[in-house]
Amino acid sequence: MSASATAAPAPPKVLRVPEHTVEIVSDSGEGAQKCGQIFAAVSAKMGNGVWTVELIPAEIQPPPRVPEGASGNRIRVGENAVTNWGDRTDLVIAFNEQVLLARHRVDALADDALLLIEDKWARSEDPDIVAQWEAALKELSSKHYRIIPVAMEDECLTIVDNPRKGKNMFALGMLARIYGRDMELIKAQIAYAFRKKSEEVYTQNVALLELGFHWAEDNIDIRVEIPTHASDKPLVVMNGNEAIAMGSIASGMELCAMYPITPATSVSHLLSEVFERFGGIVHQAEDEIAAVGVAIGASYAGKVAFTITSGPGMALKTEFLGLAVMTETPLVLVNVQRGGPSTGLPTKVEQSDMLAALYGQTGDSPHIVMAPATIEECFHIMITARRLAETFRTLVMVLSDANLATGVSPYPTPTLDEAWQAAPLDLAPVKEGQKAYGWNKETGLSERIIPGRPGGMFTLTGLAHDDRSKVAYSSDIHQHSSAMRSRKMAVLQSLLVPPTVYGDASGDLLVVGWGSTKGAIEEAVDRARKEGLKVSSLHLRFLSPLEPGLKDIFKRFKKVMTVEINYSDEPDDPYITEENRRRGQLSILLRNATLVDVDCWGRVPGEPLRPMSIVEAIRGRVPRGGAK
Amino acid sequence: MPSDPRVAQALSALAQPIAEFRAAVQGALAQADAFMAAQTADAATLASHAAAQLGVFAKSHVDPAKFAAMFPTVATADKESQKALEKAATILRRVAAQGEDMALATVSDGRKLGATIDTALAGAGQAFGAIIITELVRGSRYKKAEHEKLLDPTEFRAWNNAERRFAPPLVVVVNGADLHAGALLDFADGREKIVLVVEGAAPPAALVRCITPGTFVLQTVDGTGLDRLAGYEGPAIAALLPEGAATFMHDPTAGKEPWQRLTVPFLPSAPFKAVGGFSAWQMEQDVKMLADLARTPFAVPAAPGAKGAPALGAGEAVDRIASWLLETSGIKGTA
Repeated sequence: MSASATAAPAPPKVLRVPEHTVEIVSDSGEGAQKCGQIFAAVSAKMGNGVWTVELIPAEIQPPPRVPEGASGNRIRVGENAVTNWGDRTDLVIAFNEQVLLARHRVDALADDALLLIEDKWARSEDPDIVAQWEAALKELSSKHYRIIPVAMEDECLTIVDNPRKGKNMFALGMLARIYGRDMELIKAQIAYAFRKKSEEVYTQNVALLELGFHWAEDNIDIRVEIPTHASDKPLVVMNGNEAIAMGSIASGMELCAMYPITPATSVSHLLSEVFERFGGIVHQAEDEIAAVGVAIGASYAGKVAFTITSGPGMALKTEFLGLAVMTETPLVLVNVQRGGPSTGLPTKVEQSDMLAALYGQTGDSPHIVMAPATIEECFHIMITARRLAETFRTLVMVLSDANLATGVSPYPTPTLDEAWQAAPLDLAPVKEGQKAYGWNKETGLSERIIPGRPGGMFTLTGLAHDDRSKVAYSSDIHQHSSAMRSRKMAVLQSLLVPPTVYGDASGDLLVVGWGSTKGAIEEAVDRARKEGLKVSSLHLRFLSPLEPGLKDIFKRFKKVMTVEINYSDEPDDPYITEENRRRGQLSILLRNATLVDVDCWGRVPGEPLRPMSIVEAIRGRVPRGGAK
Repeated sequence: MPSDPRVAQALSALAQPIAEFRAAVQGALAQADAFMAAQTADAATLASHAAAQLGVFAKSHVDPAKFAAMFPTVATADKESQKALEKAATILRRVAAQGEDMALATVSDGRKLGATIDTALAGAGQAFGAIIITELVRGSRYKKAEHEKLLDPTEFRAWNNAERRFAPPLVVVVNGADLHAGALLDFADGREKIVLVVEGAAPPAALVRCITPGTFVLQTVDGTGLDRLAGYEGPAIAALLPEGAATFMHDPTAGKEPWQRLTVPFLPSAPFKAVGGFSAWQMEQDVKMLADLARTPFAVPAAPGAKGAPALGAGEAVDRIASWLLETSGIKGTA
């Protein structure tokens, strides 16, 4: 370990690599996330593939200098498109040694990672802090990290009085030098990030940026070169929640009724800034139940409405979701999943709302459940969801998660299409004899009547009803109406195409996933195939109805295993038997639908899955020589 | 468009109702076009349309051809219905193409104000018929014998209540000599809004004849009050007049009594000169009528030292009654 560097170093060593992963970690409120976001955005604009993951403490304002308070951003930068956050971090800038320990303890850092760490704690007047510093360095010495202490605050004090507010720009300057980022692009990005602040704020941040840049030039002996490739298509860079917000606008949505809940809220933050320009409004209701009620009411009246929430909010909306199904009122619900149960892990990713989304409503409540697999799909899924909700007169749930919600990645700028928008409201008189639920006996489909259409008056009710929407408790009517609502799911499935297998169409193992794990799974499959394992994968977008042909696809593989960010018992855990094993949620769903013995591998680490973990799971199921 | 800047001012004040009417026309036109296109579309076109509507996400997950077959966007129409719809679409396209000009008319030499407005609104009335035809055809309810006449130009007098509620506003450029206010009353119904841009010498208070309890009436020389006219939920008539004319606003929402509803910032005094067919005596009668309507029903003595201006307008009446009360109670000062 060197002391805070002051002497001129030897010429820098240049690492030319196809990818590198960077983390900036700090206490909450020190700006590490903003630093990471700007670095990621600039890298994407320069032509690198990028995937970011926000490192967010579970508490809103955790105490300073504790591992649990680690806050920041992890950015995987690649020569080509990056589809997941990767395995381990190659370079970290840490604002104190405790947050660095947090990352070390979860095995997030590569064994030879370069760690740039604020060293003022080593010189603290508080002996406890010095002791913590020394203990931390001792713990970190278990790996072959290269640690470079940096007197970040001392340097920043030459420009600002409160370095806590500017250290992130100094760190950004260091990254800019190490990774050869375009300083003009960074300055433009800073100007955008601080567009609501004064000119003075911008100037000061740029001064700190340049200070960090020159400091790294003089003191850091490593440069990392990741080749860039300018895209032939214009790209946009955003996170999944921003993509959902923009997709909802593009789809012609007119109302977002919501109640704030992590990690879904930022969808409404963006919408509240721009939605009105497109004729939409954000309605922040008094609670989750009111929010979904408003959305259903607006949709019933002919507006295109959606609601957005996370697991606990979806639980509260349960009764109203049943109402949407029972009244066949189109409704899109976006659930940005977080760890559960109960309030669980508000800022951490999990996919554990799947079964609640599918089966969590009272009574028999058939509806559509879809899941985007990438940030780009977060945009486009809203158009499809809206169209299906209206066409099938039903509830459509979109299951995103915290990984997609806060992850940032570039994708081709969508080419907007007028056909995505709602057609003008049809207020023509209804056809003679048309009923509120004129169910087609084959399909269960019926034409929706918008209130106000001459001849179309009926009473809307959540009670059992006949095709004229008259309350009816007779057994034959309830049997028939239940069948009609259910039949729509079968009809939709008949319109779906079988999913595409990634890799060979047959083999030893098929890995099945859904949602944000696609990138990590496919990277793991690629690695496993390079090792000679006969592995393929399949990623589902439709969970209800399930995409067709799964049983036939499964039959072509010796084993089928789901991979998801969900808890599942391991077969060799104590007390676990074939009968009592609690399997991953996707596995339960697929076993039920296909009667195939679908195995599962799931983890709930509160972070996205790493490809290497999935590779290990694959190796465990398919040893060299193939599955039996 | 005439170069008179007051025309632009009037059109600007009516922008919202003009936009609403145009949106209705364009919406119906879009529906008519889509319906007609779907009548002749082949399976591939329908599949392509379904794919577009379902969006990029659905591309590799939903079969657009099956989707299009499962959800035909329109019913099949017979020849007669298709022909009627084509005619309706032509009318809607013409009205939509007119833009703001749809809301503008000029009283040419030899024509009367009422006839000019009638002709201008008849075009809009035809659009109402075209919208109805579109709905009937799309709903498979069109019957030639019963509905064909809906596509004929229809004068305002034949419009139903709903159409009068959704009537397009109109800006009419008229010479002062042709300002026959009585003709305007025929159109004071529903939410019709008419703004006259008056050129040349004009009778000073002609629009007083249009005042009814539920009609918003405005005479202005600088556009003051036009913003309130556009937002009024009933019929409204206004005139942008040359300097020297009476200015007043009759706002039905301002009170129950005429003097509460009427404010008269300026009232010219006789003698007047004849204009066109309007005699000086007729003009004087209009001005007197305006003064009478604005007068408070109670006798308010003029404040000491006041120069006997007539009590005109609700605001002034309140001020004067307050002054009188203060004065008679022995309290000094002004209200």
